[in-house]
Amino acid sequence: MIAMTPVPTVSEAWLTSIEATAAAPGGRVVHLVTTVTAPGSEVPEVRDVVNGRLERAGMQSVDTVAETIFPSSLYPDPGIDWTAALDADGVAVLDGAAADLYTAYEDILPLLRTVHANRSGTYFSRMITWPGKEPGGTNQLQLRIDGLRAQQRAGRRRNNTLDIDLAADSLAGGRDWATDGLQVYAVGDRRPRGFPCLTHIDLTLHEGRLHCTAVYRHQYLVEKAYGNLMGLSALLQFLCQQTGHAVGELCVHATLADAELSEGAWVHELARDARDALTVAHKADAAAKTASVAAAR
Amino acid sequence: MCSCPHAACCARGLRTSDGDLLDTLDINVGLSDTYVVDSDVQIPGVIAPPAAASPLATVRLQLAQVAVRSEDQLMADLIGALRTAQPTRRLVDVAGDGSPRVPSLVAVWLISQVAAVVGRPRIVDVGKVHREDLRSVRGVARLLHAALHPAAGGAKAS
Repeated sequence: MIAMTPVPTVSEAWLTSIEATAAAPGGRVVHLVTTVTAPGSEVPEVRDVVNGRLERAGMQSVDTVAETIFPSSLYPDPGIDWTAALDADGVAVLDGAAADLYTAYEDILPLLRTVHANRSGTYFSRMITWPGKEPGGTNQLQLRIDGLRAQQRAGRRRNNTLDIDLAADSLAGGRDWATDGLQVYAVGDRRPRGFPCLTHIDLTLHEGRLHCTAVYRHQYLVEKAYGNLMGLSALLQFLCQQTGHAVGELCVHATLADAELSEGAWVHELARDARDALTVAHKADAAAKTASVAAAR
Repeated sequence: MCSCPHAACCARGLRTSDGDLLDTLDINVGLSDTYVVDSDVQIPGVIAPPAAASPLATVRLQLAQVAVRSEDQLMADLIGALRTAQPTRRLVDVAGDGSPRVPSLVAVWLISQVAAVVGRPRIVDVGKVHREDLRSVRGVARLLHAALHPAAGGAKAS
């Protein structure tokens, strides 16, 4: 097991993960745990490096991968957060935006499922219309939103009574939906590789912040990991906007992390280029801060 | 107090003594809507204004003629539909083909709307198209035009 030091940005989390994994024998490690303390924050220079390499390799961009987990481009962000004191109009705006997202995604689901890899559904379809093949299933996201709003109304700022969440039990009746996770793995999933690599998303409310843990049975660190971290960040931000909780940490537990060294030597180059980009960005930040302090004097 | 036989309406505070409906009526409308016509309509003959069309209904209307549109016209229709559905989306990024760049999921959503209008849910097999065609409005228009006019031998997806 390797537990990486928590870092503020998705970029650093991805970079330290791929560096550690690429250095391991065979470019694979078990139980890699990565934590982002400010989900969604990035170092743009690192993303540019990743996107450039992905494009040259004919792989999906960071945004495309991120949208497999949370389709931000279909969400008409209303720009307001839910609070227990929000008036009916405000609640209607927020609820309408979420409903638009669900409807738009259900509209495209038949087309998405024409892609062979999506025949069993997609991550997001499993979240909003479980078991994910057709519209009209259980909307796990809305259930979590309803539950988390109830926590807010009741003034509860923590709930860690369901830290252990069994995926197959997640949709059982009579459970507290507020902090149950999101079921993305079905008992009928038989493929040893491929969808779904993400098997479970756990939500923990603690001290008024909503934290998220995602479990991957196989985390592809080159092709998917950066986009996965961005998509999970967007999902967490959506849940927090819709329920009024502050954004907490994002933790990813890859039961098998794969640096995809079989792709070629460019994987090591990717990590080096990203590290260089991060170093340059940090130096630029430091210089800007120094200049700002000097100007203030 | 209203004259309806269901005293429960008044008891639950759905009506005030002068018969005005409270804001809560919409969630309990089943209790009292039967009685609106005989006692609650104050000005006979007034026709309620038509409900505003939902963005989705407007989108479908904008795309109603897709089957007979040229590729250029189809592209204009798609842009109009996108502006209706996502008014805050800024179509400023330009793809290599000169048309607005869109995320691939938005491209698929546009296809889904045309699919609904023409009654062909899987009008395009998005697993078999070139990725670039799902990154611009022109690409989507090209895919749809080819799917709508397969015998024309027109523009193929890039």
